[in-house]
Amino acid sequence: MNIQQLKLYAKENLFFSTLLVMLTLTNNLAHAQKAPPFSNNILMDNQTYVFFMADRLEYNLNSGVNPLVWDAQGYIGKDLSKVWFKTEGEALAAKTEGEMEFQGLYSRGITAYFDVQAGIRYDVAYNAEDSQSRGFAVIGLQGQAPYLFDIDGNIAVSDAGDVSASFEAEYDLPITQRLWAQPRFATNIAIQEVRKWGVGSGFNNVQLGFRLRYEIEREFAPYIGISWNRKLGETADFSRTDGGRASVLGLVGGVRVWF
Amino acid sequence: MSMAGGNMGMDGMKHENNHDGHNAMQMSANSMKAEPVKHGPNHHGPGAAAIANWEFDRLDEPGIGLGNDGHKVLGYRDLKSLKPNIDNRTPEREVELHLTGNMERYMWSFDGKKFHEVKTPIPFGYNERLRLILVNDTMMEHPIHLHGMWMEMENGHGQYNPRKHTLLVQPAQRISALITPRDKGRWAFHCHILYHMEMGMFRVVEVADKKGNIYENNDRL
Repeated sequence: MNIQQLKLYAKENLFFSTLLVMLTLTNNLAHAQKAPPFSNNILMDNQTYVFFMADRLEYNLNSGVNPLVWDAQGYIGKDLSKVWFKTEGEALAAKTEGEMEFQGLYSRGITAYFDVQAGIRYDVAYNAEDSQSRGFAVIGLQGQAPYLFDIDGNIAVSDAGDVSASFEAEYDLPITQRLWAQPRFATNIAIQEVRKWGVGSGFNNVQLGFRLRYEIEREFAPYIGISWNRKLGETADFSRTDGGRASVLGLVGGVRVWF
Repeated sequence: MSMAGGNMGMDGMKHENNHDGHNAMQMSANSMKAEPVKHGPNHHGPGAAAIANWEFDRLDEPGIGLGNDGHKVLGYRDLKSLKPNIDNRTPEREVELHLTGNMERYMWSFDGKKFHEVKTPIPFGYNERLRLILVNDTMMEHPIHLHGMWMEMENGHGQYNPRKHTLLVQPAQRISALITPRDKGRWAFHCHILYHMEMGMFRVVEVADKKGNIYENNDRL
């Protein structure tokens, strides 16, 4: 019985028409094998990276009190989407006094060279008698400006509603393969005066630094340098009233480590 | 997307780029060199640190760091097939891919998309005639390897265009090849700098017939 006869017969017979449908289906499956599902998960191109760097971990020798200073950051995440941690602070070695800040941010790559970062910041200041803390909501931009300047700027609103901004720029200048010069500029701006934290309205301070580091390994580089911190305006007045100085020039020595 | 036509020819010839810049691949009257093509709007995203504002022929150029020592250095223009290619059809369609990367973020990709970001293979029709165009938007050379079929590199030798499986694409170069996919299946397509491939400069080309079958080779040309 050929197919034509079968078709004719099937018109009158439900059993045979069902059989014909089944035959046709089986026939098609055998000859038109479809491709298996496509997988894009066969490379190493979607890894989670972990990074930590203490850019500054140093002792500041000046004519007043000598603090230990740190400035470290790190992240865990994908190419364009990361959780970013930052901490910066100083603590006196000789007596119980210090202040520090911690930031936890979500970082999203928005252009080839810049990430937008948003999250929270927590400040702590302490001395032998007392301690205080405050929280912030932070939003900022971090990345590389043309000519490879490392830029980090952000705007923060404290839990009391005080608005401030900070900006930092660094540049890595190679002198030899292992010896690097690193000029650094940082400034803080506040809209409202916050007396308790010694913060005046307007420009708070300008920091200029210059460090020379020698990369024994790229991940481990001791350095020496100078750091100048000049408090400005009201902030400088508050500092003087509290028995401090508006301008501190110090010799710094430390190590830059990352992994 | 306007490709800024006008008098951009290196030899001063008036040259009108059409909508997609296709006829820029045609040779000008007195030279084998294709006219430069203006890059369209940059949609490659943060994974691409740069684009080539103008995409150049560069087939006569020996490559980065070569050709400055007084010797003649053979280049892609000098390659010629001994025997004519068997498929003389004009291409029915074009597939254009841009080589993109960001050294700072260490991302490598095609069209700004790493392999894990694409959801489908690049579809090639079984026995179709197509033109593959590669544009290098990075500042380094990438050897792009297509498995499973020949690329007849369009370097001005017509039927004697050389057959290659890897095209070394120079920075800001626009290079093209004619392809007849004669073997069905899924084929790797990637930068042969393997650490670029592993970071995402990789695609799968799927050669299927009109029914979507990728297994048997029937009615082979």
